Amino acid sequence: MIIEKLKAITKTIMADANNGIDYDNINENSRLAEDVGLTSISMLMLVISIEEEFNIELPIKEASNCKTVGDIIAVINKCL
Amino acid sequence: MSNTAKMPQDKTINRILYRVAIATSTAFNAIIGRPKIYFESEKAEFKNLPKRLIIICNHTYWLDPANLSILFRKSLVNSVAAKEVFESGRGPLMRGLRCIPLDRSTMDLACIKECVARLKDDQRVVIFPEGQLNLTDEILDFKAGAALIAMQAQSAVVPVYTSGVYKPFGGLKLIVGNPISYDELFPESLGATAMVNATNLMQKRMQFLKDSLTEKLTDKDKEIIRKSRQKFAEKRRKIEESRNTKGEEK
Repeated sequence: MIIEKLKAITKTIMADANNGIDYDNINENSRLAEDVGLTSISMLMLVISIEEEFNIELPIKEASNCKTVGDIIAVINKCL
Repeated sequence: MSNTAKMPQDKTINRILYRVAIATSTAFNAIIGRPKIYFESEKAEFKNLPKRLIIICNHTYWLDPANLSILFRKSLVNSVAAKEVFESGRGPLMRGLRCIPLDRSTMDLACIKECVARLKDDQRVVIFPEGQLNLTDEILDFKAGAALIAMQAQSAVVPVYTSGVYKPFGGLKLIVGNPISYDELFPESLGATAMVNATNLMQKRMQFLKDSLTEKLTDKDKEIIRKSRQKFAEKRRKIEESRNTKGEEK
């Protein structure tokens, strides 16, 4: 499941953030900035990690327009 | 087409062009330019620096990348440059001079990947972490790109602070800081907060170098720098105005 892999990736990236977010609870509706706590740099880290994990190359313009976890999953699905 | 596939190929002709440009500029710099170079300590001296290295510097003039390429020429030196610099037919020249285009309007992953690839090839990359030319006396907040590239390439970072004017016989002064090792940049984790901490560390070290170099400047130096920046800012403003006018006419 893509969502499970995304949970694991965000958990790793945000492990040192101590922001109180429970990354096991993120779902397709979670907003990347507000609910997942991603900043521009952690978003870049997310894209790099996704590319490594799924062995794909994400179209960066589409990825940067993503607002929710669901949007990211849609972009990943397009590339698989 | 993939993002990385858009990047220029590292052609032999480009390497030759680059080597000729560096050799010529080095000779010119040694005879005419003669910048005054200080080192934070012996550790910072060029001979001790690793080949794989990120050079971060404040950005006060368009010749900064060329100057740093000469100084750190022990291995191939690449510079991150705004993609606008590649416009108006300058692209081939900029690529020949090992500039890597950066689109500042978006998350430019292609640029980051290219920097990482060149570092992993034991080349050096110059990054201006303020993200723009800065003609003020204060260091602007650093962008986190340099830290991300350092993490991905497992590279050390050397900070350089430059001040003065590009004019013959020692008009330019710069100080080379002690290299910040990869372990020093990322002592505990490799997460998003580690990236922020590494960026803050670079900023702190740059501030220290700025203060150290400023102590060495005379009042006359400071006045010359102030006037030169004013002149350069005015020139840039005129160029910007002329660009805008042309844009409106179109």
